Amino acid sequence: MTELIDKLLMYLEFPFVRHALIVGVLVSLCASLLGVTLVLKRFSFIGDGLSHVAFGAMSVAAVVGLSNEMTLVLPVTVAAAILLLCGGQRAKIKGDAAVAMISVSALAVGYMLMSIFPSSGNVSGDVCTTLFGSTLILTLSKTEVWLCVVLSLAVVTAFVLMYNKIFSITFDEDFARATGLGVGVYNVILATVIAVVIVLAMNLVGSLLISALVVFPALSAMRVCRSFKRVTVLSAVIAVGCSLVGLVVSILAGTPVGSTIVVADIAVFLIFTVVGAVRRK
Amino acid sequence: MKRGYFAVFAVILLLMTSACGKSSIYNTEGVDIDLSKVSSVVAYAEVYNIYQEYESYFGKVIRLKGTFDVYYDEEKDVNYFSCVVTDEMACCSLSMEFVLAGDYSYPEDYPQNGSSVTVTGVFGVYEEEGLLYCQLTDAYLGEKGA
Repeated sequence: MTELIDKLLMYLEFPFVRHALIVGVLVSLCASLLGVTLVLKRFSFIGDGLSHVAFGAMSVAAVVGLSNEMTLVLPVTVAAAILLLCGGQRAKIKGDAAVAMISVSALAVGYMLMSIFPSSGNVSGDVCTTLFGSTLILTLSKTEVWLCVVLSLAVVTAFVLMYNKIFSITFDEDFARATGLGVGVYNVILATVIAVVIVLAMNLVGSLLISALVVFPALSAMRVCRSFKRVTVLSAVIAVGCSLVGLVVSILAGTPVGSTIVVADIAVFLIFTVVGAVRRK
Repeated sequence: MKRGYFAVFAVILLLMTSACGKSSIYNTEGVDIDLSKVSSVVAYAEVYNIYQEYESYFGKVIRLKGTFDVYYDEEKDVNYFSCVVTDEMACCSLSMEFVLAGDYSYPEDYPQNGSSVTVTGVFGVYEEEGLLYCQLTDAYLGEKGA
């Protein structure tokens, strides 16, 4: 045990390992808070769709040669989130069809652009890193770390301040509208916050594994808790715990960061499913 | 409740104290940064950082573990030797060029291409045809030197 801690302390000497732990905790916390709302609104797969949009935008930013990719990635992803979440019943293509269409289109266009206009000599490496987040979180610049911290704090603050409104529009939009709540405005804010979280989470697990970060903590918490508040709190605890465990295991054992975190989430989900089943008996 | 917090804090402090100073990546055995001790994920990330912030690493003695690679430039009739560090899936790789201290000839005095090597050398950069290249000079292969 002492040897393991000794090894971990040795790794913590690297500034980028400390940065990865801070960003990992904050990003997974944000993803889990919104995960509960997304699962209950039956938009579990929106994370996947938006992350593919972000991947496409990132490819365009690389081709154009933008020094800060976020200036393009964030607005494009926010626009896609608003389109998907706020399109409502009037849209001709809606729900899962719209998510699927935007998701695969962005992925295909992004990959094609990266292949035709490679920004580096290793296109497959760039694509692999972006899709699976193999070492992305360990190679963040100081500016990216600060951006992650500021955006994460903004997301948590927005969630806490709008907790009651989010609760209302999550369970019954019509009732919320009848009580005079500006549902449209809050849906736009929610979509914006979700897009920000997705862009941040891409650094942690890559764009193919983001859905796991959004849905698993919420689903695990729902196995054992019944109230919205308890599910949200437990989901946050699970997400942060799994993220820390995944990062530490990955650093110590040399496994891919993104998939190690997701495996930790799967393990917790299975444990909570068993616990939930036992408690119901 | 306060007792509980204190107990947790005390255990963490005890574990950290017991582990403190036993192993370090920095400043051990004349090596400023020893990446031969760490996992591939961390080694790759640190080499990436070296490339990004090379000015902070000037003059530091760095030890790397990776795959030996040689590139022959036909125009200049020069061999470039490097240690290739890959991430865990080997889809991303970074190579660090090195120049051995003393007179050595290729291929007699070098490992086989593609074999695993540990290289230690002083970090620096040089400019060639308008491009900056990182390299380890005054280098030696293995843990204790040639």
